[in-house]
Amino acid sequence: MSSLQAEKPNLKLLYLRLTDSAPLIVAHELGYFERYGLKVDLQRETSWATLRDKLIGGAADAAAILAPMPLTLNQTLPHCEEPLLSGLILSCNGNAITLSRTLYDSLEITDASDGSQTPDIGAALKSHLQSRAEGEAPLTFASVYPFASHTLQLRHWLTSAGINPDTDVRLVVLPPEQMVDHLRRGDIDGYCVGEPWNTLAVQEGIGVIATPSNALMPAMPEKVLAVTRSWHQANPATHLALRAALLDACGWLSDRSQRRDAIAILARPEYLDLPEATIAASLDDELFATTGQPPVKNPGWHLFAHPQSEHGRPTEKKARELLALCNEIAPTDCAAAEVFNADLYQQTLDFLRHRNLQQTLSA
Amino acid sequence: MTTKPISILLVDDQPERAAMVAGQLTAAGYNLLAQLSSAEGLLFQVEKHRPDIVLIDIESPDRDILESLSVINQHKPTPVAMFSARGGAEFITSAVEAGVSAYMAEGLSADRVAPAIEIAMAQFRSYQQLRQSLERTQQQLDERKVIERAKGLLMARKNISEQAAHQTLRTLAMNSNSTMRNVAEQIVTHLQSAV
Repeated sequence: MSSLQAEKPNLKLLYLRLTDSAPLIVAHELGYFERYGLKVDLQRETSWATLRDKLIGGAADAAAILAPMPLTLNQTLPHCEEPLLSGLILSCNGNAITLSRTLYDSLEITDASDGSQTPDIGAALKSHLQSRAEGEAPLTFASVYPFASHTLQLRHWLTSAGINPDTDVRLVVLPPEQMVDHLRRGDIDGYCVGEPWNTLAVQEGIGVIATPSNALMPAMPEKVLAVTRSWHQANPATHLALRAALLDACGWLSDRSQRRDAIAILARPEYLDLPEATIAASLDDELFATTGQPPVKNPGWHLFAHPQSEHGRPTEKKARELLALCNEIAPTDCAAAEVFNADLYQQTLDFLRHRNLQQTLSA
Repeated sequence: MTTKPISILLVDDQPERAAMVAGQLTAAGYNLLAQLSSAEGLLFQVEKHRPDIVLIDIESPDRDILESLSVINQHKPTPVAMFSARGGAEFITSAVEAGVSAYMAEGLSADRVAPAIEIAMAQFRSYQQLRQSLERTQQQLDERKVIERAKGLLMARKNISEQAAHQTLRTLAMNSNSTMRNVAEQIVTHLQSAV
């Protein structure tokens, strides 16, 4: 069965303005969806909550969503009876923590001029917090969704520096594309967000990147392809075609020689609508931490799924690890780990292998 | 037995729609605490009023402020994102279609909240229809205008009657498998540039 009989060939997919939405955009632009008989309409959304509700409400067929999102649906929508499921992790990593230039300057960190030593920004923030006067408004940090890898990474970074994320600072949620504006206005003092919104703050001279997320938690699942369970049950072949097309796109993105083309596509007005130089940084594994300084290498800033690696396989073990971390925010339910469906991933691999074999034989 | 009326905070940047929703909610006996046009100060308002329900446009990026309230700050009065009250998936789908999202305080039964959301959904929908019919009326007006102009130009240039001009437009539209409006627009552009 090299061709699939998709139950529903015309699909609507949702995504946000983020560099790691690349698999969907690339699959759309390079004809990977058509390869498996799908005609896909991509729709850009602004906030994770809106995207989530549209997906569950049936206003779209599938979406690239935050990995912890389907695992914690019971916590955010306690009355929702429609679970989400995922058979493909699109990418790992891809985020960073950025502090406002104003906050960073008040930390009085002296950069090692030869770049030999990374300054301990967390420790400096800790002593800054201790020196703040009683009654001063707390420092505010933003994440993109309550149960996002970003919240986990931000909390991890603060906790490692001896800062209590619940009592020493204030945590809020903002849409990714509004982070830079809120930072500029001084509404927030820092954030954890996906690229390119960290690099953009540095390029605009208003932010300093404290750490990339992969330095905190390496190979953490970041974006997954999600559908509702009832959609999957009604459209199993369409779902397989969708996963196959997106795994192809992820594989294409894993090849670094393709990244230049990916950057040009992502930059277009209908997608990220941002300068190529801003999007290029993380896809080239280059970290511009401070305005005007040369970049340092940050290998594996985005790890896209690939048939030959384990990054794309949504195992229950990975789900349980994420749930354990989310449990520090609010009590989670271990049974939710089953929404990561490794069988569906294996089915995609088997299908692709079989298809390649048939093509080789008929060639 | 008298129960306290359910209190509602409404966030909507469309003033006309907000007025419609507020009017219907009040008429149905709900206690409308405040009506905000943006989420500016939303945290403060939620803490001050402690609403049972917050109603907000599904597209509003300010919703995320409520998301953070609902989970991150557990010790705050917490509106919990509420989605399926009754009718399960159908209720969700129609709420998403209407563009309504709702957050409710913990401990409130979904059945008590659903009617308020249904009122908001109905008002969001009729506002949508109102706007669509306004747009349609405007389009029809525009269409009539451009057809009249095209006819006028044809009458002047070709020295033909109004009826003949109308006939010409209709024949052109039929032959080119197009609408009278499109043909009229082309004629206006063409004849004007040919001055």
